[in-house]
Amino acid sequence: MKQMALLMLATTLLSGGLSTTRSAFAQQGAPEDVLARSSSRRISVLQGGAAWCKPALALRMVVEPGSPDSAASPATLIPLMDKLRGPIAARCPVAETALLTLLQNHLVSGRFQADKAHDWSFAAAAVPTNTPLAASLDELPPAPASALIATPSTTQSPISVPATAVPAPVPKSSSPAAPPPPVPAPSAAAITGTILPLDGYGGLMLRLMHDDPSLLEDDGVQRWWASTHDRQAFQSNRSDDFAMHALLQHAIGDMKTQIATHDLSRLLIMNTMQLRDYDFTSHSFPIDGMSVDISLANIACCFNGKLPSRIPVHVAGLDLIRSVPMSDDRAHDLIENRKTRWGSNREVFVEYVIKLDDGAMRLADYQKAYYGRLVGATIYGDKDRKEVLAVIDEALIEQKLQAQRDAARASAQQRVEEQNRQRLAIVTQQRQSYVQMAHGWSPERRIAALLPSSDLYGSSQLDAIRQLRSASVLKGSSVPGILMFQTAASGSDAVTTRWPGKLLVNAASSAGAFERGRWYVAKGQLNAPVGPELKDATFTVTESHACRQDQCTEANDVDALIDGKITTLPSAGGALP
Amino acid sequence: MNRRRLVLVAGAVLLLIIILWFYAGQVATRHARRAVDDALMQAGLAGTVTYDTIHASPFGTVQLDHVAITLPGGTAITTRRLILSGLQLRDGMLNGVHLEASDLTIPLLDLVRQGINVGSPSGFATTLLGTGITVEQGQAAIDYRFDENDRVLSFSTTGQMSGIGGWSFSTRLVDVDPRWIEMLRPIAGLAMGQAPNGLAELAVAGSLAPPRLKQLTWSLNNTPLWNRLQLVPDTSIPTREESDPRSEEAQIASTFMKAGVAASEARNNAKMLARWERKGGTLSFTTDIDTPLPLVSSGGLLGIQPAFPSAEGFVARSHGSFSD
Repeated sequence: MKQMALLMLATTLLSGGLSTTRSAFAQQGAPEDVLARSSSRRISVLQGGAAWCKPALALRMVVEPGSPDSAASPATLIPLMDKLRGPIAARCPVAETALLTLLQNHLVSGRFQADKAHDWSFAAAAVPTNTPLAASLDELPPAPASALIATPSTTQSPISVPATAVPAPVPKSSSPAAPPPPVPAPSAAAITGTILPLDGYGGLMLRLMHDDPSLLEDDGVQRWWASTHDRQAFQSNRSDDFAMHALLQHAIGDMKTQIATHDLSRLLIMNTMQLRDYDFTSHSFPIDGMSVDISLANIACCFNGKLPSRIPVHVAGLDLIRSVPMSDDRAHDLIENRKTRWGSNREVFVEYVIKLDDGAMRLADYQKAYYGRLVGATIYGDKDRKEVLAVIDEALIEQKLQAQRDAARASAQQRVEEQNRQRLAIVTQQRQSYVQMAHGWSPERRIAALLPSSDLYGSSQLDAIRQLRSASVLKGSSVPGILMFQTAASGSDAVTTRWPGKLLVNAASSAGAFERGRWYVAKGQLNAPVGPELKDATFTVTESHACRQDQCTEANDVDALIDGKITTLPSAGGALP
Repeated sequence: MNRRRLVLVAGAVLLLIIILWFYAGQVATRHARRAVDDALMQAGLAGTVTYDTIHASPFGTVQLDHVAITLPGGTAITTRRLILSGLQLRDGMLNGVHLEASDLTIPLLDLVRQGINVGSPSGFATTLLGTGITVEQGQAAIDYRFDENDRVLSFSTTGQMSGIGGWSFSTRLVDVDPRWIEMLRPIAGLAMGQAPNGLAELAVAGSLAPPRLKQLTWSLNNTPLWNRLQLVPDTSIPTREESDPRSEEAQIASTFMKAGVAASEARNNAKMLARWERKGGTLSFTTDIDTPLPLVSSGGLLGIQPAFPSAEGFVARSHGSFSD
């Protein structure tokens, strides 16, 4: 069967049909972005935008959901890839190298490369599987459309792959002694061939039953399963206790089987969206974004017991997909093909692929929910998932998530800076009152105010070593304090002191080493040993100020002290009053 | 022959004396144990004050080994040996006792951690802990005598501790009405945590003739503590240059003279006190009293009040003098 399909694809590729003009494609209904396609195997090879033809090609081979090859080992598709040498030579004579990204079940399952010098023989590429395919979602090349939607892209950026990351391919037949090309690690689905993602509420129920096996024994859950998976038998045996019992027992076994044959960490959810007016700037149809907090509801009615009516899921990144990228021509064709008497049908179907976190549901915001993140999405033109409008992979989503995080961080930082600016303006206006207040401070408070983190109210105060030692001995561990000391040596570790004596100081870091004979005021933790002899206490500094004058007498210049604090407070982490 | 018999008789007598001595010791120990246990029981201290062994001699000396005073919270003040001698009891009243504690151990840190107030004024414990003194060890002795006939009360104590230093204190009071001693019992009970059932008796103290001081001597040596205090200052910034010692002495001397101390004596006292404050060490005080001085006078909230308005006034009246 597979050989037949290969033959068909090869025939298609060699027939020269792909090298025809745009209008011919439009007439035939084949998308111009598609370099080659096997309808029987539901595999398409995408060019990667209008300006795809260049010395370094970046192609995508999309194995659509439902394809007999959706769970096949990526290496088995290499013969099919090798058939691309004809179309490449015909449609892009300038091409020298090609990098092909293989997507199975919406996920990148491998990367392959070939070059003209080796007659376009594909081999596994030494490129990390998470290499971004495009700079952003806006640059995403459209996925193959059905025969009805096919217009060329003229504005989308080509897929970019760093040239240095693509080593020269090894020809498979150049030397019999050459080692076989490395095969990329296949996905879990590819390994087992039977592992399926969870689909919607019913799928997530499998995960829930796996996490809480007592659900398998629940009458409501069993009846829900039986009614949705064998509706006819369920309806006809409702009044037959024995038959119903047998049916429910069968449901338990069936549920267990389904749990074992599904990838419980991968969830698919489908949502219907309306394409808004085409955006000619971003070359995409805007769509509404989803909320990151969703609830999968049980649409089959209602059984008692533990069957939840809805299962909450928190999906990071679910709100990221807000547009369906598409070239102008293709968008035009889409609208044209969907024209109805009353307007146009703008309904699309977005299938989200979610990677669920390990473990059971966890509590957050007063309710338990599963947690996960978006790792892929496919936008279909039809409910049966045949007409693929766009495919968005994990790398792009992660890129977008990172951008979202960066933007949030930058926004928060900007907010803090703005608040600091405003507060600084207020503080500067009130400078004189702070100076007046500082004149009333004790020398101990003024010296402590030299510390960068101290506030404008003189809330900090120097401690006496005897009181700190006593507190440390009493507590049996380190105690916080602010000390003024004069070093008797230099360094950053166990530096002896002249004042107050019987004290060793450790700097916060080697960068903040102490100078011999200098006075410091420092905040830190003091630890005093307990024993019959009076031993040195250790003061581990977390923040310090190197005084310019002996005994830090510069603190007596109150005006300079306050001015210095006003200047440095914003940079000290928003410690403004 | 006679000589041989004499030796035999002497030997027999000696053996008898030894046996009697041993027997008397046994009897005395048994009595002492019973007396100590009863006393502790009556005082409600049976579980608080414990000892390992007890020995008594026929002459009245009682030795208790490994005595522990367990305070609320479980911390114990211990002494390896406590010798009790010269015990005089009459009608349940203690008229004389001499106590000597050797290898006395006071776990200061544990006491403070359990919230037990140690020392006075407040902060003294903090001072000791801050200078690294967490356990105090040493010895102490107390001697108490009250002669009912002569109405003379003598009290003295000496001690030497590893961290804070040594002390000696001795006083002699005359014209002490036995009822004063009676009144001291509830006060002692209060100090041990018992109910204050004797405060009312203080109200009648005003009607009693006040005890009078005949002699007072004390001496303090704080050298060990002083040395530690110098190593761990209690200020956060170095103290400024000390004021002129002479002016400080003059100020103290002036206070003494205002209280009635002769000029030469006042200057000497001021010099000794100022030097002790600056350098620590030994400071002694002794009185020279011709006519015993009443300690209390009538008046005040409790019916009695101290007879001396100030320490300087007491020094003046008692012709006291300080020395090093």
